[in-house]
Amino acid sequence: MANVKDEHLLAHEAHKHGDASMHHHHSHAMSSHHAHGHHLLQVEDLCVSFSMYDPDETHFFRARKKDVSVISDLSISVHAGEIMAIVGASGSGKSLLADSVLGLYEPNAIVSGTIWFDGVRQDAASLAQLRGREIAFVPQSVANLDPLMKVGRQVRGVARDAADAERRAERQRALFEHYGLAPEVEDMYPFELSGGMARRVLLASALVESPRLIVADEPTPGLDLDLAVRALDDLRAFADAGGGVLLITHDIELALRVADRIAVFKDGTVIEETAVESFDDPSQLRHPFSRELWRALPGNGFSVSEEAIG
Amino acid sequence: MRKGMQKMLEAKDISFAYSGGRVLYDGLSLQIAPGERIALCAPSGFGKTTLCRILAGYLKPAAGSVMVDGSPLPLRGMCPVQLIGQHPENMVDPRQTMDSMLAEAGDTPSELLSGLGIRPEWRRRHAHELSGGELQRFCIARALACAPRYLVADESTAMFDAVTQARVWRFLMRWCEKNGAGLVFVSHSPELIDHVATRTIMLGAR
Amino acid sequence: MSIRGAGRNFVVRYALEQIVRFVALMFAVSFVVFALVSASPIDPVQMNVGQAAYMTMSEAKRAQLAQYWGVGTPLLERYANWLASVLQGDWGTSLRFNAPVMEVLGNRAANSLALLGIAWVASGVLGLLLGVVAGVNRDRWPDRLVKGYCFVLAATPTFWLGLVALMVFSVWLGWFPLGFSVPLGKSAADVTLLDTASHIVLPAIVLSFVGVANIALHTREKLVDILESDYVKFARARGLSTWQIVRRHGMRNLLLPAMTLQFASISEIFGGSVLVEQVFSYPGLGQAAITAGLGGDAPLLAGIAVVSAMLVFGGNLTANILYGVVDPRIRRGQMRERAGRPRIAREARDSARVEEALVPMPAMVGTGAGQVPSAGALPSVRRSVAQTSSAVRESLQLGTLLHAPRRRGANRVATFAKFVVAAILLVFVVIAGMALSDMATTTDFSLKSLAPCLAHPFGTDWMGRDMLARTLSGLSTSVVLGLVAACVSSVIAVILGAAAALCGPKVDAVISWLIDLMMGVPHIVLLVLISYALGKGFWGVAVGVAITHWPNLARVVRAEILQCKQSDFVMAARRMGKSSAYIAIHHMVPFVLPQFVVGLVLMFPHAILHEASITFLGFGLPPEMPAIGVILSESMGYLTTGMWWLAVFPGIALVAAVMLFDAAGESLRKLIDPHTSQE
Repeated sequence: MANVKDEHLLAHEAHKHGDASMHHHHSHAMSSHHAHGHHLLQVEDLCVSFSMYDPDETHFFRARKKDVSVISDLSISVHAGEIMAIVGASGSGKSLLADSVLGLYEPNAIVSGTIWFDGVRQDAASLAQLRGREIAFVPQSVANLDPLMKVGRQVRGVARDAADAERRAERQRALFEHYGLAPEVEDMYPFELSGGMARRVLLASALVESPRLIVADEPTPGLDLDLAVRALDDLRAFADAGGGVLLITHDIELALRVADRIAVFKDGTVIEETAVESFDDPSQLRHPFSRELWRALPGNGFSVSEEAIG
Repeated sequence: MRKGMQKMLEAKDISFAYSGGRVLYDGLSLQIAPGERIALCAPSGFGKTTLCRILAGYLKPAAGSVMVDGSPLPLRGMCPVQLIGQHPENMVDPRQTMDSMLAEAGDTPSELLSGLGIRPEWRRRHAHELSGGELQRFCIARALACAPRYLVADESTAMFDAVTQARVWRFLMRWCEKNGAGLVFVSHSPELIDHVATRTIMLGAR
Repeated sequence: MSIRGAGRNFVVRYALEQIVRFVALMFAVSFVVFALVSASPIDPVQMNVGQAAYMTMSEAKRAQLAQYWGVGTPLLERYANWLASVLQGDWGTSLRFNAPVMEVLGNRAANSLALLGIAWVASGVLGLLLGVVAGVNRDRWPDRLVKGYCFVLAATPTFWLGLVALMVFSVWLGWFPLGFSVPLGKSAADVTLLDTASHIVLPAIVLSFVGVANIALHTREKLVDILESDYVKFARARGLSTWQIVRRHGMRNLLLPAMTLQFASISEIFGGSVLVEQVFSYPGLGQAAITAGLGGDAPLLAGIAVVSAMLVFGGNLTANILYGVVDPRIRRGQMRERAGRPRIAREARDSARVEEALVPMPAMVGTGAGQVPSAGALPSVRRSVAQTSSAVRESLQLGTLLHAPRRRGANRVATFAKFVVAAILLVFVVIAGMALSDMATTTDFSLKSLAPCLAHPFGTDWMGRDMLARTLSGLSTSVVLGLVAACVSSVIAVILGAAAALCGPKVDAVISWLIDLMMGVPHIVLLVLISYALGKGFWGVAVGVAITHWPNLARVVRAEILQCKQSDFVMAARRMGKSSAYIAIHHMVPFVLPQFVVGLVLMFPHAILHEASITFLGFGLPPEMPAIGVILSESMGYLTTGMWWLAVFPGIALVAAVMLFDAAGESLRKLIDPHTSQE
């Protein structure tokens, strides 16, 4: 089924990767490395569209169902040991990428494309096996936690047997200690957590099963800058220890602060994947929109061009 | 009491508490002069949104008052302070089309719409048929079409991508300069504040 | 003040509050009973003594009886007397049974409580099971099966179900006795447990059926909501399977709404028991209520009304308390609140009030007619679609296709067509019935008691009247009556609901209290009272149905208007200088209208069922104006004669008509609700 190392991929990975050489439509950063000779996560030509009623048709009954494309031909990769940030406007469909990588699909979604994890080609069933274990998701807020269950139990997750339960409990306590959460936090309910505590608990829940890849969807909504940076420091530590992080955010300044590589998301696809250093000098950015992005940074004077916004 | 002929938006001795008893402000005062662009800074959860709503007349403070040019905020008629909120989907009637929503503000000059990048075909749509960014542009247009003397923007550009954000802020700054309006805004981005604000007000912890 | 102290204080305050509410409710209920009985034009002496005896009675005797029945005594004096004796522990004497009310109630309460208890538990358990199965398998065949079953059941009048059960299991098959609670003729000492059990089985089963549909549908809706929540999505992202999620998160989050639902169903079940007891001649409180109601027995009626109100109130109170104990947000949040920390608990508590939980009224169709079209409908493509998501389908893909769309639901045109067809059929029924009304009353003894045949597809009755014509005519009457009553009811609901939302807190308090009062007494009991007060007959039924249905819709209207009033977009309009009138017309009306229309259409089936029930009980229309309830009530007398078609066909026709209304309401709701309009 999905456990065959793709011939195509193997031959392909046999190329040597230089530090900043252009390969696979992306440039690399210092900390990107190809463990075992391949990308940790690779997505190629992902297309996601939904079957829904045409929103532009004014007559209620004449509206036909059509396939509205949200993501088209998106390709992206994450290396072990790096933070890859996808930057794009809110609500533009970036979260769907996270869902696709986790293998979670809406029932009226049409999804096609290829996903490799750790060099092995995946399908929906194998992604289902991976999620929660090798690929972990860090959600946005406590709204993603069961309001009626104590957080300790939620972080620990579901055990397969008594021994597994023991292991999980130990891991949960170790993680809480590591992130400076008092033991009493275990017995609290989500509504009792402060913003900072919530952030750490959510991260802990992702790390309980020692994943290789973390997908973080807007982990810093509305947080103050220093709280947000602290949130990302923890992700940085995870990456430095050898894991990969796919960070989805709309806040480009934050991404520039903490990521190794940046993917610019616009109009349903990734228009450029590049090392974060490229943003120091706009001439290193290939796509005109990326350069616009650079100019849009307040630090660079809001000097974007004048024409009608897309 | 009219305090001379000084033109400003003033919050005098505002006190506000949640109905559970938690006190938010006690005797808070601030002043904004026309043409100023004030950034409101405070730690998370400090109630910046509540303050914005009080300034725009959406909430009544327990004590103190908000004055525009020496007179309190009017109860009827067009309010000289307009609010652009953080969640555009809450600020728009889900059953209205964008056209009728803009009509409520009065005449909306077309430069306003094109300057904010609003496409004409979006005007026929309802709120749930637009993305957050598109909807927010309409909310901004509506606020500006009211020709307010003071604008309060509560993290209003958080949902835009950087390019749109830049264009919108540029447009806003120019509009405020041209019309001599004052601007109060909340933002989490220090770079944005650096670039946009003429003055920063820190709300201390209590 | 320490947290402990603050907590204790709160409990004391809450308890006092509840006691005051309870006492006020008891007073109000008992006073209303007396008022309605006194207001009735019906002469209780005539009613209870019978025409023949009344004619031959002497003046003195009549005067004596009149005094006995309280005729001529002013209301306040009557009530004061009763109140005085109640406070001394004496609940008065039942005029009808000529025995102390306490004694009558005591005898019958045991029977009723056994019946109610069994049915309550059975319907709760079964309803929960069915609801969970349906919710987890949304849109697959188990769900369709359960939904279909519940829709049919919800459209079925309780008393008809009892009739059919009696016919099939007691008359035909002889498995169960023909009613009552113990074998006739046996002395009390000889009655065995088996005897009692065999008499209670059929009524209990029938009564359970009533509650199951309601609970199952509501449970399904709640579970579907839970499965679409953010935390379930996250649980999936952590690799849990659907059943793991249901066990770990679903049941826990379902518990609270299920509990609320269960306790709220007490009122419905009590109402159902009145009908069931009548059909099975089961000597319980319900049957006593009817006897008292038909005879103007004010003390007994007051006693029963108070007891039923106590049951309902007790149920709601228990639910509220349990909620506070089980939900950690309230349990822990309450204490924190006193200490001055953020109060999320407030929202949780407010949403836990049982009364509010009852807002999604037309449980019959059970798909959230009380739910608000989200003012915060998120505009992005992603979210609007997410609202319609259901269980993730793990699928194998071929080639590069990772996921193919699973559900392509009925499109809008089809749904609208469904609505139109249902409406047309109903209109046809009404017209046909009116056209056939002559035929329905033409008697021809040469054709009497014919079983169904070609000339008379529904058979004929004992007077030779054609049952098909009679059924259609009766149905037409019932439908028109139900429609008119429902429309009047909705007007009342709009006026009072809007007043409560817009006229300030004092008016709101009064109207809300009135709503609570009306919902504290089971519908049927109230209907009986009102109908009696108006002298029975056509107007008695029409007004009765109109008056008992507005509270639910008024709640919906009030909630919607309040939400609109407090919304940001209305605030924005005000800040732009729009007047209150403008806002009312341009914002509030469009906001409320959809839920109102849907609530109205879904009220029709309720009204029709209630109207059929009350005419069945004997409070209704004269025989020349045969409503379905009357037809079915008459058929009861012929149960043992094997003329099954007298009960079966009219009943099926009624069920069909109610289901048409339900279908119309469902289609309308699907089209109007912006969430589902994308499906």
